[in-house]
Amino acid sequence: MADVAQWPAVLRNGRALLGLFVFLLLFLVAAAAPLLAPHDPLEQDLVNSFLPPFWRPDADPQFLFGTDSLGRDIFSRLIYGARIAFIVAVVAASLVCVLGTMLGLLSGYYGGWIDTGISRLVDVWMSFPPVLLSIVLAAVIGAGLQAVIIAIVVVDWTRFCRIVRAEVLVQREQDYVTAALTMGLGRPHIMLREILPNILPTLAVLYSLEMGIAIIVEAILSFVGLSVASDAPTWGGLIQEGRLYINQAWWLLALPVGCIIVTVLGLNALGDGLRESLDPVLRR
Amino acid sequence: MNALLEISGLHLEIAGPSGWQPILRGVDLALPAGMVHGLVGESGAGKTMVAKAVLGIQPERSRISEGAIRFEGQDITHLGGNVRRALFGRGMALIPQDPMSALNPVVRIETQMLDVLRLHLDLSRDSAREAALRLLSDVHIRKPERVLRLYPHELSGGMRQRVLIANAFACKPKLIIADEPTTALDVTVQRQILRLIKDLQATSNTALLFVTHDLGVVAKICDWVSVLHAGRVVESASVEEVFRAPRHEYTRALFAATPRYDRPGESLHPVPPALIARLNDEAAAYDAARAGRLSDA
Amino acid sequence: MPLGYIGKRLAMAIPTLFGVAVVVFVLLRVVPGDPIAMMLPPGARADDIERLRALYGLNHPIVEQFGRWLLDLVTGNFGTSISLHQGVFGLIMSRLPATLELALAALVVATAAGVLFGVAAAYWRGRWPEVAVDALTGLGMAIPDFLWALLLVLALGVLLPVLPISGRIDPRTEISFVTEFYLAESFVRGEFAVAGSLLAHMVLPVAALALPLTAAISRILKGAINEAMSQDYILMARVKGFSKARIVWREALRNALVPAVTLSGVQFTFLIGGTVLVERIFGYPGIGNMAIGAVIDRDLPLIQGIVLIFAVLFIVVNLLVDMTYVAINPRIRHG
Repeated sequence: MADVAQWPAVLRNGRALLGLFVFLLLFLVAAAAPLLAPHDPLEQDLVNSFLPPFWRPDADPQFLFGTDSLGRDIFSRLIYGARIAFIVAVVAASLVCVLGTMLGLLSGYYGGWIDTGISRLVDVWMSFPPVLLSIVLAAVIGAGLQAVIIAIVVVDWTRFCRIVRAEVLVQREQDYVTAALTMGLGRPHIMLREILPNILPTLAVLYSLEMGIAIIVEAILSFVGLSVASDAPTWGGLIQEGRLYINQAWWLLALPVGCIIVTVLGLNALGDGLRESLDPVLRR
Repeated sequence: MNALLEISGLHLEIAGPSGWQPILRGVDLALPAGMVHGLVGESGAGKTMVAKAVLGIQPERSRISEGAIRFEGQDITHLGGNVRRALFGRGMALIPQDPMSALNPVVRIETQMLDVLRLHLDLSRDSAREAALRLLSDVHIRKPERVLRLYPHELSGGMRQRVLIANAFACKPKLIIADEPTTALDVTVQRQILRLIKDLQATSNTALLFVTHDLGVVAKICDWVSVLHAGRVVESASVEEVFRAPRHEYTRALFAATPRYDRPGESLHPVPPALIARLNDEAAAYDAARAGRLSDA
Repeated sequence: MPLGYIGKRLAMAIPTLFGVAVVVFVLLRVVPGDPIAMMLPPGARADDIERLRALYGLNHPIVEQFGRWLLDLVTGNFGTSISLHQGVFGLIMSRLPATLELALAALVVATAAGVLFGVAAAYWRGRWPEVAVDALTGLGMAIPDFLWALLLVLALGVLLPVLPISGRIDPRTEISFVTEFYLAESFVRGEFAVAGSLLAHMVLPVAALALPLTAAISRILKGAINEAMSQDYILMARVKGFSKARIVWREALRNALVPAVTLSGVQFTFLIGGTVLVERIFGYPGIGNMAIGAVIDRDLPLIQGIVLIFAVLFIVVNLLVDMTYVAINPRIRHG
């Protein structure tokens, strides 16, 4: 335990550690939301609306970050917003990972018309501005968390697909693949049991970045009013509300923006740190 | 005696995983103006490093811990910055080994030549262009106006090397360092280029420090030769002497390992490992002695 | 020959455009909820709904609808907006110039700043300016343009109100424009006060759009310059006696631009998409803002038209990037 040099490279990388910390913090806040939040995020109290946050002299100690236009506790809403952010991040990133990786593997390993077909599809797909596409999709599919997640997956699977395909093309030429072929192992086996484990570091990096992207897309969608039911507190929804009262209570906008920035920066740091520490190990 | 270039006791080390590795061990060399001095040795002997040290472009993780390099009487060993820059062009120039990578791929030949001429000779654009055309015909490039407009990748290897030679001689420097300038070329082109360098050197009376691993080249072009092994000069004499009666064992071993066109059918003998081992021991002894000397001081 | 290269790219763009058209068409026919019924007051009679549906051509078989739609597109008829009751094409054309002005301004700013920062980071490699630039660009790239927009609104619009945060021009300005290219026109007509007001309103949205792109260009360029600096011809340039500044600016940069342009081109397409939210946040009357409104109102024809225009813009930008790449890479130009 004392000899840091023995730890796996990942844990020795400063950025990865920072990112991991942010991720775990998000997870804890999300999981323990009911315990951490001092108030019910939906509870309105019109008498106590627009109470200022703790750094102002006229703040109410009961409401750490103050209240919004309907008297709801900002702190509790931020915490429950973290919960939704986490769920969206993990679920969306996982689905994107699975879909994109599958198509990337198929495209890269089998080649031929499968590759051409999928690559054309990716090209067309990537001609759409992602923001616009996700908004249109969410409008099409309707409101709700599932819609948001589906929109994220539909818009961003190409990211995984392209990178995985490129990796597979490289791995395909490696000796261990030739060895496996000469041992008579079938193509699906090689794809899943030989190549896939070798691209896991890349997937880990992409996954962390994708979580950040998912959180941002969710924020965008709820900012535009297309996410979960308007009552439930999402960070994007808090931003949208905060914008309306920016002149009276600027912290209503600043706080959720701050939360998103910290989370996204942390997840990006995790991705960068993973890339740095895992890359040379496996590229040898 | 004031030679144009004097290297005395040059000791150069490179930073390695286990400390400083000596590359040059007390190299001595004197090059008078207008003469051609060959630096011969196998790869790794340090001959390119001598050339780089003279030009001041040795790798960053290296240091000259002992010795001196004097150019025109001035100590330039640790010279850097603008003072060093002032030496280039009219003081010394380089003919590099790889003509492909030594030319900027996205810039026309004309610009690459004019830049040098205008920087050092302070010529107007038109005079510089005329000078460039003359230089190109000096190096036997046909249709120089056409070549000026081209990009490096549109020229053959031989032509690129001629352009680089032209650039080196452009400002009539006192010293030109040629770092294996024919190694990257076809055999048929090598002879032409060598002859070209020899002719240009003779006409302009430029001193030439010629780095090569090929004794045949030395015979053709050099007046004096120094043989290097493991960063030490094992023999240094006029070309006549060395070729007639090489004194050091290693020099003789090099000759024995070199195919000779005038004695075909002669069997080749690789340099005996025992000799190499002995030379390496001598190098190690040198290092130890030096370490001892330094710690005593 | 470069023309062949461009021609190939153009030819490849056509099927991509077609694919885009198909996707747009399909996507918006899958709308749950009846946009027609939404247009009429509640309690409308069934045959009223049917007549309106026929008016919009939504009662024909799907394939026929697609065919008619394609034909319409090619002749410039993008249909009529359900929510704004005007021709979609006209609406888009009236708002497009505002967005183009923003996007171009952001591109110019981002390129200039990106090049400066990139060159600085490469020139002072290993020293503090490089570290500083890396930290700043890290932030710039991690935070998306709409969050920058919100931060700028907070910082320079509310907390320290120095710049306008809404609209394109001071509403009190009395001037009637001939074209929709307000900024260009005001300069051409010498109306510098008006131009000033226009520029003031553009500062924050352009900054928000340009920040991520600046960071990307700076990073990419720094990497490309460092890569070029390790090449032999740079060593030769040193031996030829050129100063470091000159080597970085004239020798290395030229080589670095080649890969940098392609990579940056991709980033620029993100900027175009970014106009959607940034315009919304700043109340800037461009097509991005209109897009969000259209989506919220479920205005099919308008959504279709805007998404198509965006896709076309994307493809055009990609083509321009390709052409620029060909222009600056002599190896492709001269085969």
